[in-house]
This record gives sequence, C-alpha cells and structure tokens, in this order.
Amino acid sequence: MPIAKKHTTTTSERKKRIPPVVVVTNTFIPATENPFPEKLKKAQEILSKTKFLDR
Amino acid sequence: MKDNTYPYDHAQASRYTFTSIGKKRIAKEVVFTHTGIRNIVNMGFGDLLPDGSIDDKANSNNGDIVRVLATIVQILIDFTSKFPNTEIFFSGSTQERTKLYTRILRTYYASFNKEFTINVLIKERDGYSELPFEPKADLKFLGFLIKRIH
Repeated sequence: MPIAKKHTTTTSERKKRIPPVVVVTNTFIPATENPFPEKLKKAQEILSKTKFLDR
Repeated sequence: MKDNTYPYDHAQASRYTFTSIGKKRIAKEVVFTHTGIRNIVNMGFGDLLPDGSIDDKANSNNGDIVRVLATIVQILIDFTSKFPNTEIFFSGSTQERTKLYTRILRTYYASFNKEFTINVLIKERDGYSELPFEPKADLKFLGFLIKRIH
C-alpha cells in the first residue's frame, strides 16, 4: 500500500491558521500601580466615613 | 456633546488615554481604581508625563476644556457599560476644580440624568453624607458618586 505523502504546510498557510494574538485585560489595575495614590487615599478616607443613601 | 470628543485608547480595562489638541498636544490619561469600599471605583485623570506619571493638578489651558471633559464623559460611559454595577467616585484635585465639575454637572444635568444617577458627598459634623445631586442646591460638594442606570 502506498504511503500517503504528508502535506507540509507553508509559512503563509500557518500564518493564516494562527489568529493574531489580542491581549485584552479586563481587570482593574492593582491599587499599588495606581498613579494617584494620594487621591485614592483621600477618596478611601472620605468614603469610609460616608453615610450612604441606602444605609 | 458626544460628537465633540477625542478618540481614545485603552489597553487595560481601567486605563484610557487620549490626546488633547489645542495650542499644544497633551497626552491625557483617565484611570479607574477600586477603592475597596462597596463597589466604588475612584476615577482619576490628568496629564500624562514623559516618565509615565500623571499630573492631576496641571492647568494646561489648552483651549479645549469642553472637548476634554466631553471625552472623559464618553470614557465614563464606556467604562460603566463594561462594569455596570460599579459606582464611580471622583473629586477635583483642588476646590476650584471640584467647583468646575459641579458647574459642568449642572450644565449637562439634563443629559447625564438620563444615563446616570448622580449623587454628591457633603461634609457633616461627624463625617460625610451622600445626597442626590440637585442642580439648584447651593452646597459645597466634596465629591461625586455616579452610577449607570441599567
């Protein structure tokens, strides 16, 4: 029985098969990387002493 | 207001950048960070400096404040559409800036009101209180809490 010749993919075929990698990060940046540390601290200070409408 | 905005990029869900084009070209960044309190996210924005830091006190006077703020509102709409259960807290870096935000909210209240509930924080003797934003109220606000209406 003749051995079927294995088809080798060309570079362009491989490129077509591999979808482009798109990195989407759907998370918040960590507080440590926050570029406004003072502002975040001030916000936390105010919010921690706030009486909210639904409480 | 929507038509007069700058295009923006965001490589991270909570970080948006755009360029203000006026007398100069100034890179701006809007960053959302979780406060760890309820589901409240702090929104900060300012001029993006060459070293990657952000100056939120800069008075760039680039002649396009309305377009810059309209872009920030669009970013707010985009962010809250992705995270509809979050409440966004923001305040000015100075009292003057908080007053400016109050004026803008008063001016555009009729359209903001359709998409967001807008509450304000005021100082009280033993802390702060959240109140619904009343455009005609003559109160000193410390910050704003905005939540998307589903």
